[in-house]
Amino acid sequence: MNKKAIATPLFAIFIFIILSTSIFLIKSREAGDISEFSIGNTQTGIINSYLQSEKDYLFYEKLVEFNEYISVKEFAETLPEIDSSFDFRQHFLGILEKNLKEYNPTITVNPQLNADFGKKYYYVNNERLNLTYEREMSITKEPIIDFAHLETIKENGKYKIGEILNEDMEPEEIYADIKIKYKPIF
Amino acid sequence: MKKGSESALTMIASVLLLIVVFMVYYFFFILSSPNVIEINENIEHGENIALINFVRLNYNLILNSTRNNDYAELEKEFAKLHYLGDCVNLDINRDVLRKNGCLVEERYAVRGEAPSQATFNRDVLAEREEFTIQIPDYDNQIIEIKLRIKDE
Repeated sequence: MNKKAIATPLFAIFIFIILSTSIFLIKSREAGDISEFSIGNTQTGIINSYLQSEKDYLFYEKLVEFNEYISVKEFAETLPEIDSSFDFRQHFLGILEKNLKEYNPTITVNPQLNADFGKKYYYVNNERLNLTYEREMSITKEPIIDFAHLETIKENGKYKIGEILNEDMEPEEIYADIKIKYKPIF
Repeated sequence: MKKGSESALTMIASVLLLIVVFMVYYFFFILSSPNVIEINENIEHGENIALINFVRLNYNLILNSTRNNDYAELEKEFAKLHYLGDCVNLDINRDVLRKNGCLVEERYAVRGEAPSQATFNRDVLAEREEFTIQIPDYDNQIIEIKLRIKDE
């Protein structure tokens, strides 16, 4: 084999590798490129979005909590004469949903006492990034009223249905006057 | 040159070439300055977290204070936030709670003090970082709370 036939392509490949590597390294390490590359702003934006969502979540959490207190009071005051088919939970849900809808008509409450405020979107925008962080605002609460216990009541009377915080943020026991509709014997 | 010696020469040339290529890589990676990215932006969010926690822990007290317009108890709780520094204000529905005598600009403007006066506190001219949270009260009314910290 001719020596030139070996050396020329090898030399060409060698030069090509050296040049491409040099250009890559020089271009990627230019000071201008580094100063433009900023991850601090992006991180700050993402963390701020998350913290804003936490603040919004706290808002909805407290909104549901206070409306539940108000609804428990209203529930006790508006209980009709009941029969065996009366649905305590449904009656309470109706009151709670009505109260929450006064704040925002789009809020829905399901039978598990889950108040759904829908999705909230938070945006992180800069020259190089358009990021949307979405969070489902849904608050589930352990009901104050023990509905299972209410359904076992067979006699008229005043029954304690739960304890709430009143307007002065002091604990207050709530009693409901339960009247049972008796079926006529004859 | 014999045929066998030509192939040996090719092998030696290839190995030498590989060595040179690796040396060039090595040269560039070692001798070029390390590509360190400095992040100078402020990515600390302790103040925001402190505000959320403060509101969560003192929620009932905040509601009572705004209802009765008496912030004495809340001011004591606010004073416990030592780690936020000395010049911190909490603004609840435009009622300002101060810490260690650090006031916000508006109060000075109301009192008509000016920077030329000897008693003037230079803190009032300092830039402040502001963190806001909105909370509902018992009647679904919105309470706005602002934490203002002097930008050191």
